[in-house]
Amino acid sequence: MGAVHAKSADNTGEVGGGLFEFEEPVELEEEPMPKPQIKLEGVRARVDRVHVDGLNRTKDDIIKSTVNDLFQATDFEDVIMRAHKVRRALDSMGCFRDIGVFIDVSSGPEATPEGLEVTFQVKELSRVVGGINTTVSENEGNLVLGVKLPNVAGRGERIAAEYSVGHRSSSNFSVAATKPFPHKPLAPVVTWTVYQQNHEYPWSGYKLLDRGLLLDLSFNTSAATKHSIQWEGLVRDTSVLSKTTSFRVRESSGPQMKSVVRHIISVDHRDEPIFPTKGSWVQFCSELAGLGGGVAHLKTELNIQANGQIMEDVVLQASGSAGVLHDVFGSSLPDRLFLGGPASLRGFRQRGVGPHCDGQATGGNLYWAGGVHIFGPLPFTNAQTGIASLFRSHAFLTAGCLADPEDTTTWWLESLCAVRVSVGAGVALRLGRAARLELNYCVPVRSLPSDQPAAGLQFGVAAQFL
Amino acid sequence: MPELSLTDSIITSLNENVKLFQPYEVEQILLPDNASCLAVQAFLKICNLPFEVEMRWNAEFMSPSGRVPFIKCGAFVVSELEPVVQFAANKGVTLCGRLSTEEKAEMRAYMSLITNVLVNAELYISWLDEETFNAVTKVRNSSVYPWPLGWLQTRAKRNAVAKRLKALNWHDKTLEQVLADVEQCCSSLSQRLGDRDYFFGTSLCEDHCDFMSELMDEIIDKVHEIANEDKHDFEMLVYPTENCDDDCTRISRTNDYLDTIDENDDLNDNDPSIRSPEVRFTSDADSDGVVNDKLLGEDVVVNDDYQTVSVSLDVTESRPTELDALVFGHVFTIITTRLPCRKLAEAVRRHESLVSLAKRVDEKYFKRP
Repeated sequence: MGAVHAKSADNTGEVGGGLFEFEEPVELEEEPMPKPQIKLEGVRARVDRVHVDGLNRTKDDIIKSTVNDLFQATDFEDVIMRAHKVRRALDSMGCFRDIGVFIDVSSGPEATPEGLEVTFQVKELSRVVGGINTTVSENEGNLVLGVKLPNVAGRGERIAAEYSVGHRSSSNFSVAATKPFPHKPLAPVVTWTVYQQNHEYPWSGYKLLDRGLLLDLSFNTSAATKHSIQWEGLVRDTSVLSKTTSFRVRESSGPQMKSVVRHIISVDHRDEPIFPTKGSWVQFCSELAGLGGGVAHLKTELNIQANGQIMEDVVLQASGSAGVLHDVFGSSLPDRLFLGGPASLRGFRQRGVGPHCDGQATGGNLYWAGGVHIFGPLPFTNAQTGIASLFRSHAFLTAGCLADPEDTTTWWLESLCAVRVSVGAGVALRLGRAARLELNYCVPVRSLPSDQPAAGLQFGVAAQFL
Repeated sequence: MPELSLTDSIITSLNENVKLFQPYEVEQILLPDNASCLAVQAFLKICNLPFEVEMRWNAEFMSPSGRVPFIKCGAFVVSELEPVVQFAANKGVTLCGRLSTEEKAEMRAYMSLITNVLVNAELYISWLDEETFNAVTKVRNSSVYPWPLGWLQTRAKRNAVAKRLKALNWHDKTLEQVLADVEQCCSSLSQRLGDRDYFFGTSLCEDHCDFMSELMDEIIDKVHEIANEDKHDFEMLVYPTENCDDDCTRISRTNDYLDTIDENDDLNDNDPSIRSPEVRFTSDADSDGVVNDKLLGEDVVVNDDYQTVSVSLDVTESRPTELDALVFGHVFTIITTRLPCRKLAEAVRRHESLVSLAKRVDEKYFKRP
């Protein structure tokens, strides 16, 4: 009888999130199962005993309910499959670092003739994991200090705290407490987050200081469908960036309180999030603000993407997005919708589409945008291997429009037809599985006088591109 | 002449409408903010600059310095009194142009006395006096925010004010000490004011008006006398207004050479007893400001370039400056705001000259349509 030893990636010990940490998640699906040399499904087997070695503070009840499945196995192949599933379940609890699986015939007085013993060897994560890293965002460099308490109460709960200081003395922090319920129906995960965040928006001339509380309930209704129901209460302090900021932007400064209920549903049938070759993805986010607080609006955004392989190594991707903001009262500049930039409608400055006041984008309340890309491997190299496999070359056409709420002279449908178009080509680089980086040469084909087109080279990093 | 440059600048550089932004007067504004808003309004009114008041809940946050009020003039956004005064001066509008350097320095000193004493006392009463804080400040400051943001904002602002007062050693004072400081500040202000109408300029009371009117007539007679003599081949037309009005200014139709009276005569002397109706006209221009009579002689009557200017005769003049605007803003606000703690108002009210200054400015600049 052989032993299945699944190697595991050491990914859970690291701390911190953010854009610049792109660790590869464990690729369990791609792990080759050992080729059976003998026919296993005929071999009758039952699991007599399951050992889990290395448990220290993890509670027995969640381990028991996780491994219970193994006792249902009837033949040897079934045992291997179920052991593999249990290993994945243990891994996803985020409590263990190394998980080894050993299967042996059972011995001892209570052993049955076909009995097997399955042993999981685990190593628990240490109680406190810390880390320091640096990040560079568009306007400043940050030093990020992170502390994580994995498996804090023995049932997969974790607390993660992150504190970052920017060189311009802005400080952000977040403390998140997560509690998974792996054995409840739909396996919900509840997260509470307290945060303070600084954001600067030089394209619109303002900066935000957000202090808030986020309560998130995530669950999956199918393998591809993920729901997230959130409540967020925040105090948002808007202030102008400089003395030359336009008065239109200045008018929206001051503290505001906002209470938002949000529902995000995403259905992902793609084979890969960053450079997919097939499948489609839909994300629909609806937001209702105004249950308390001084801002009330209804905001809906939709993102879709479809991919198809048209030749070997050549993928055609069509993507689209749309958003509507219906203001009831109190919505100010930061609530508005914006369009343009290297990650959305390329060939325009960041937020460069739509109304501007003294060169600063003031946003709209309705937009749509669409793009068609053709992705291919880098020319002249063997794209399948090495570092070249992280790159793609692409050519694209993007189009979109942002309707201006202030502009009462044109009817909104008319203003939605004032489409802006840009074309271009460039190189895209995959950064882990979380983000990609693009360097494009863009040509804005159609723009309006109020826009800020940016022809030429454009560089962008984002998790989500149009 | 200050009036002339003022009129010009209104037409030329301040023709874009000036907007003054401040918090809501009825439900939001607090004592210290109201005082500074009123001071800036008074300054603009004294300067005769037309402006619109816009009330915004977030005026404090819109302001570049974080304090109210601020004015928006075209693309310029200027906050608080002193920068506004400076801004107006850059645009050619000034109220202290005729003051000597010493007087200007004195005025600055009194202005900083007010900022250091009255403003701090107002902050102390509003934020650190428990009774006033609970009954007025807390309610008004949080009135524009939803719960619990109002509570958070009020707490944050109270901490900021306490920090400021701590740094200035005001935090640990008792109310009596604060009132003693106010008393001292007010008495030095009223001492400086004396029985004058305004802080700078000559003493002028209502009963002086008749004398001034007579004086004016004498000057005009003298001018006519001189002008009618053959050797002086120029003519001056002065149309005095029917009565000497309160502010003792006269609308006269004249030409630039009244400047020469201002500059060359001795009437600027402060002592009214030595004032003489004697006007020495020099027909030969001997200084830069003096207009040669020969140029004036020919077409003095038909010249359309003559401007109607409000000539304030320096002899009778006592014009308000920004110090008067500042004192008015604070005194008027303190005595007219109903607070649970009446002691501050009482302390200020005891100085009748300050109160009557506030009344004078109010009647002259705020009650006129």
